[in-house]
Amino acid sequence: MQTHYQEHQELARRNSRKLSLAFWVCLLLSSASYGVLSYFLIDLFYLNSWVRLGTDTITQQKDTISLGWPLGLSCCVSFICFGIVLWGYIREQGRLNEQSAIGMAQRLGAELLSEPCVLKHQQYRNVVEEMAIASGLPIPSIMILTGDYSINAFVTGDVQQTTAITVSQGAIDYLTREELQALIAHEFGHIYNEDIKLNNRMKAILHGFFSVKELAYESFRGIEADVRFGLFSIIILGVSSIMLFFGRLLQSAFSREREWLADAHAVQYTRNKDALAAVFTKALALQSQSVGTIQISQEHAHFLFINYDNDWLSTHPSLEKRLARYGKVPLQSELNSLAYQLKQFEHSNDLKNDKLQSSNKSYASNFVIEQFYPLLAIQTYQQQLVKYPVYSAEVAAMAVLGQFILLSKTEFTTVAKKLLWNEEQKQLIEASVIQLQRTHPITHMQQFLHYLPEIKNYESKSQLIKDIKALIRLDKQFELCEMSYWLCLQAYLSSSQSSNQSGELSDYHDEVVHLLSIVATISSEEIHIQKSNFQLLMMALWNHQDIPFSPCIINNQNVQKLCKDIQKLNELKPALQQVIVTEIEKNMMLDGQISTVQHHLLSALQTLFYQQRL
Amino acid sequence: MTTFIILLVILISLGVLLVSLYNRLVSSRNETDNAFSQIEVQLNRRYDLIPNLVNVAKKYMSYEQETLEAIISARNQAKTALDDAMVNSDEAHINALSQAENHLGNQMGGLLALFENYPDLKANTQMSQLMEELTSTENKVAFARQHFNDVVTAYNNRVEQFPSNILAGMYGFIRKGLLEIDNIEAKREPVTVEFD
Repeated sequence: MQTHYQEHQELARRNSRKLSLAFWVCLLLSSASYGVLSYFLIDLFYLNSWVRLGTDTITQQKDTISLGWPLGLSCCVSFICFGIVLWGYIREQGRLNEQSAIGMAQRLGAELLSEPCVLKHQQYRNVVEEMAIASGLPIPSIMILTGDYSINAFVTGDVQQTTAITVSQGAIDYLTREELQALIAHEFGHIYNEDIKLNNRMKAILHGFFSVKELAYESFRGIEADVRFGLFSIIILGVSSIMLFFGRLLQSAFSREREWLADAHAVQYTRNKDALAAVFTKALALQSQSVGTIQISQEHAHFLFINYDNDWLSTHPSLEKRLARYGKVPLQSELNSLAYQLKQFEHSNDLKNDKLQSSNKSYASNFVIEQFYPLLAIQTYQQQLVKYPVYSAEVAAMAVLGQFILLSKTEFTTVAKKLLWNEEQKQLIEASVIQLQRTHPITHMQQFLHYLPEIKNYESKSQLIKDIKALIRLDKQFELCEMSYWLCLQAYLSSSQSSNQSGELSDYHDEVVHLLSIVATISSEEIHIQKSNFQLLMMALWNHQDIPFSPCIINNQNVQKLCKDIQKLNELKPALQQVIVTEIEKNMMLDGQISTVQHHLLSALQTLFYQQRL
Repeated sequence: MTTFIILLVILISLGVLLVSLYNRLVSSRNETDNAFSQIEVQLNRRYDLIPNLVNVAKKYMSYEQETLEAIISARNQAKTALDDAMVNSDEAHINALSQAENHLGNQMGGLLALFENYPDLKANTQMSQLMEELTSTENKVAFARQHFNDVVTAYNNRVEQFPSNILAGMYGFIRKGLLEIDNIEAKREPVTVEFD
């Protein structure tokens, strides 16, 4: 593995030195400028050499004599300002030194990690110990920020050289072991570079500039009578404000360099830059979903692993820049998909802990058919799906029944009483319902299609169809999803293939329009998007937009009509069927996401049209 | 008089330079010793963990008694080799240790791969905690070795670079070797089980 960490480290260290130097130059410059400005002021009000320069040349002699005291006074002012900055600096430094590492973290909302009983906490403690070894540093106090579900971490430290490391709850939940390691290695980089001390110094210097500004402001308000003195204060106020601004600018630039340095250390300790890049990617994904981050005041922002409020005064380089150095910046679609999976992760964890059928914790309860899923997330789920081998036609038939039980939204136990199956069959059905509840709803169609081919050999097909029909009628609603599964089932069961597939598109105008308007209706909640989708589809199939779009109400009647329409479309020429399916598919995937109901309808159309040809 | 003062200043600064160079050499040598003792601590910890792991595994893997016994004997060998190496750390003992370590590593890799066949065992909480500890100890060995090698590299640089190399030659600071111990995780390859 190629790591350029030493190069980065050297570069960042050199820049930090430059910045540190710049700060002290700033301090000297500011005191000097106070002096120079006050000299000009004295000159303006008391000596008036500028005014008299042109008119009277004799008085110049007098000026050279009196040059001594204004120079001395302005030097005094310069020293006083320097002194105030130093005083403010030392006082703030002392105040910061009083705080203990743990106390500081606790003030930010962190808690000490109790003796690990949860595996994830044990892992966290172990990873910290590992990184302590990798960096050759003592083990810090280990703390956790329970309220923060974003990915973040920070270190605090005090004069006694004790340090505390704090990691957010989100980081513990969402990151893998390697990623957590990279995150913690970054924080150890801060400890190794003594950034806490440096940051405190920086803060103290800024405080020094700030106290000059405060003092000037107070004196400006206090003495209103003397205009000259007021003007004097304004000058100091102006200069100190500019200094403070530049100080902030430098502080953030300095802090950014320290972040780069810590990133380089993270790679040095773990020898794994991919893990670091993965942390940034996950953080970016969560950020794009605006997962609630804890608000930490700007004063403490430099502590953090990631500062989510990014502007030009930010203490951290942007996530994109950091990603660009250690990996590659992902596409928005990849981020959406990752964010979705991270959100689902917590849910699936609940599922694992939960033993069996308490169905209020299963995917089924989360089954919002209108919810849109990122396409990439769907692909990942479908790839992860474990397909169990189908041992017999009966297993397949019972699995299909299980799917319809799930769709009828009835508890398995209540259905089992009503319909007549033997015990063995009931067990098979129950197993399939549990299996379905444990998998993501977007993969149900795939599982269903996995069982379907076997069902052709099932002996009591008529009984099965009767039961399924009863199940569909059970909740008195014929939903689009149920229709999709029903159509798929039909595609495999109907032995009578429509022999004449010679229909033209114009013969089935009404059916196609009905199908397209339903497709458009489920494409979005907003009418204007539905309308534009409908027009796109019409343009693609007929090259005209004459027919106005009216949203279909998805009720029993319409769905039944659609079911019949789609079955009629079987008689279309295969090439035309293919055109319809492709156009609908293209339309559904336009915005990179798809809902369950869209996915099911599309799968049904594909199965129906392609299955007929086989 | 002035030349004397200049000479004195040069001599004193040279002396300060030499002392600081020497001190830096000593401190980096001590750092390498410290880094090695860290490795030893972690290796011992691993030797303590393995019997616990095997005890839990025994309950589930009744058909693998031989494998489990082989691991315990490999662990005992490695432990003896480490104890010997701590008493007398010459090259022969270090070599014996790394051989024993590699043997144990191979055995453990095979065992971890076998665990894949026992879903119940993997689901056991005690087991997953032990596995986490083992993974962590593995990492700690690896990181301690990494840190040791980093420190040794820095020390070697001092020993060889001008001007500290002159002092190193005078006071017998010699180059140290880097340590190579394989990681168990790296050997965790799937084992194909064949049925006759």
